[in-house]
Amino acid sequence: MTATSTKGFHPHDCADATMHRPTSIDEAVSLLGMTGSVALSGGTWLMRGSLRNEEPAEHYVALDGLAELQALKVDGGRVQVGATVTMAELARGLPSDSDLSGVALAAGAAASVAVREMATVGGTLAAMDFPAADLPPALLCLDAVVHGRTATGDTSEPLADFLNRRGPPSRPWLLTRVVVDRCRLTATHVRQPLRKAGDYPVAIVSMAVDDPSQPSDVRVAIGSVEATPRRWSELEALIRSQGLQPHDLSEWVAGHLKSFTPRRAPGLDPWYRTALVPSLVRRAATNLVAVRDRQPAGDDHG
Amino acid sequence: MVEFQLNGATCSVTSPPMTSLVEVLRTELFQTGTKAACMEGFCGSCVVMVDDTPMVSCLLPIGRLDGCSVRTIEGESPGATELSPVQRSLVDADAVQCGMCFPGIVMEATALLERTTQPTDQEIQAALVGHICRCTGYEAIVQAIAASGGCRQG
Repeated sequence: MTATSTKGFHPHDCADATMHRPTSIDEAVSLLGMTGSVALSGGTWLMRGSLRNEEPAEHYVALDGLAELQALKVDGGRVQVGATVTMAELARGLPSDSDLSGVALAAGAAASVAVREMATVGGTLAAMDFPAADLPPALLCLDAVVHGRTATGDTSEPLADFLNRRGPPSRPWLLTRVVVDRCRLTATHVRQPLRKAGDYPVAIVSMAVDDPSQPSDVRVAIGSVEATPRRWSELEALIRSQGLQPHDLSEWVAGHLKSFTPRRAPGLDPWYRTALVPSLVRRAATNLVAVRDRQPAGDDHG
Repeated sequence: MVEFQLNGATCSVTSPPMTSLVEVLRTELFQTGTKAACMEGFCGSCVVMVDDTPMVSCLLPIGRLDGCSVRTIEGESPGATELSPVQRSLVDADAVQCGMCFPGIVMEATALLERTTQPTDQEIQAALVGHICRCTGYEAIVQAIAASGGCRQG
């Protein structure tokens, strides 16, 4: 499908670009080897490229025809999420009240209904310049592994390594799926946008523990505060030693915010991002305690 | 060339494949009911349904729609002067002011009611998260959608 050079009114006009529709993953990888090519998954990030002063690509490799990338497989031992599974499909397809509840909450809270029906898991993770995504911190708490395909074979690496590199492991490379090994954890995900109506979250806390009464396996990830989401090992150690005491944790966090380098964004001072973290940690801990106590949880995400 | 169903009729468009659906609707197909406001997926004024799923048409490249079924606000009225149940309910509630956000809201609400019978106020509000209305304050919109679909406690 080739393009004609017509000028549109759209601010991020890609009139001269070509869209390719591969019928296999290997064909998609081969097409991504062309100069000026990018993978097109949901499109919700790429289609706003001109707002980031990015030049449009010459070639867009559309992934929506690849059935293998659309699969969401959940069983007792493992979850495999195909790269083009949408946020909405992920939220609907994961069981609640389990180790996957944090991921389900993250997927179901992102953006808005219409955007969630388009935005994909692979596109979210591959958008390295998008620091406010809900999904990465929730997946970090589950030690997710990112799988991909190159021209010479398959790759896999921990999500944390993938995010820290801020780019694909090689070129050409296609993210094919994310894999999570199931574990005996209770998870939650809390976020705070500027307003209620579909804003990017200012700060995100994802938290998972094995036993809310006596946690020994503790995972805490902070998102949207810095350029890259990460686990907070010092807080994890504190919870292991002192348990899930929401108020105490909040106070400790308030005294340890210097460990973060909050990012700047138009209209939002960095200090505000870190200022929200203590209350979000308290809310996350409260949610997990509520599960323990089998009481209705409070509002767990904005 | 991309061919898809638009409100039940087959149409073919020649716009380049990375052209957004909202641009194609408005400038090639002259279906201007769908609005192009923020052009970055935040305001909801461009929401249409693709294969009965609400999507923001400003971020949807037309090249992905080959063989799909697209529904826009123009297709929601059963006749030239009739209104859909959602549209009628919004009119009856006097919920519409400037009208800029309403095509997207009608499509979103219609999609919600096709998936959920008798949505709660909370479910309606959740569905409207991606829609910005500068005129109304949303209360009458939520009430009208609830009335349109029946209502249950929640």
